[in-house]
Amino acid sequence: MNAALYVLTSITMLLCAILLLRGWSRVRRKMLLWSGLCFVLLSVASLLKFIDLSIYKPDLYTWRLAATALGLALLLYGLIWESQ
Amino acid sequence: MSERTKSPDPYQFIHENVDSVPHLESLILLWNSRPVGWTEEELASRLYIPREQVRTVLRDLIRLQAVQEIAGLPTRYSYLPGTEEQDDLMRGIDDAYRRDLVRISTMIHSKASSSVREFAKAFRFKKDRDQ
Amino acid sequence: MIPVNQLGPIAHPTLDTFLLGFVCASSLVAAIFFLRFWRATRDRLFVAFTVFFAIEGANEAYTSTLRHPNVGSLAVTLIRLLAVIGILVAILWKNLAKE
Repeated sequence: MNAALYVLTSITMLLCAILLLRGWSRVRRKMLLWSGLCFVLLSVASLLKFIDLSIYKPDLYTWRLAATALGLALLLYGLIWESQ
Repeated sequence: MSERTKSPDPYQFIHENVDSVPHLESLILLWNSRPVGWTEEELASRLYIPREQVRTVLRDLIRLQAVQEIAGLPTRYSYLPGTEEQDDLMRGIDDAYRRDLVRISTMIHSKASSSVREFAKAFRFKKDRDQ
Repeated sequence: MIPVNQLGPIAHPTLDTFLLGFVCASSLVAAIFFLRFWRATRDRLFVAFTVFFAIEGANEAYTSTLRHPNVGSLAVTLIRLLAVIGILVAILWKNLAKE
């Protein structure tokens, strides 16, 4: 159940990222770039969580949080600067 | 410009495609002075906006296929001639803006910022669906 | 899943707490932005994102109260699942509803 959630989340975040980055390549609005990158990192974070659940040895918790934090920082930068 | 309706409504066109008042004024200026080409510098000083903004406006108008770039030194930009329908639309826009400046400016300013609208549009799978 | 009593100690408690707080606050701010965008555009997509980031923020806040933050709980999992499905539904709705 947990694993399914994180895989689904990762895929959904990746879908959002692809749509936003595709949109950025067309219209060049920076907000699309930053939010697209955010979703890439959120996707990575979910993937790390999935790996964390499956493999016992390395504890990826801090890395997952760091990826999420970085993604959100980029998102906020984009939202604050670019959304007028 | 991509058009699907038989009698294009200038207000609807402006609402859907024009992001700011400088966008509209540049378009109307280029239309009225066609086929004359303007440089970024000339447009900036005529419209009282910074060059950076002129660049953004021209980029968006080119993407709308309303404006074309004329290669040269320096690069000039002019109205891109299109169909009869497009000419009618432009006449309508020019007329509407002359008569109804306040209402059109208000409408443009009350739209959600273009970044937000582009964010929403990005989630459409197909490219040329209009809302 | 590793049983709780076999989990290692938290490796970087201060850093983790800081990051948790940062993620929580940023998620809530993002949710507020998306709420504003929804009010401006009436586009349901933004509702989905508002809910998603609000739940993310609430989740991180809740997680900070747990002794083993890396484990989570069933209720949390279900709520997050709903938030993610919400986004997928909103995207599909946007693309299919106009047919």
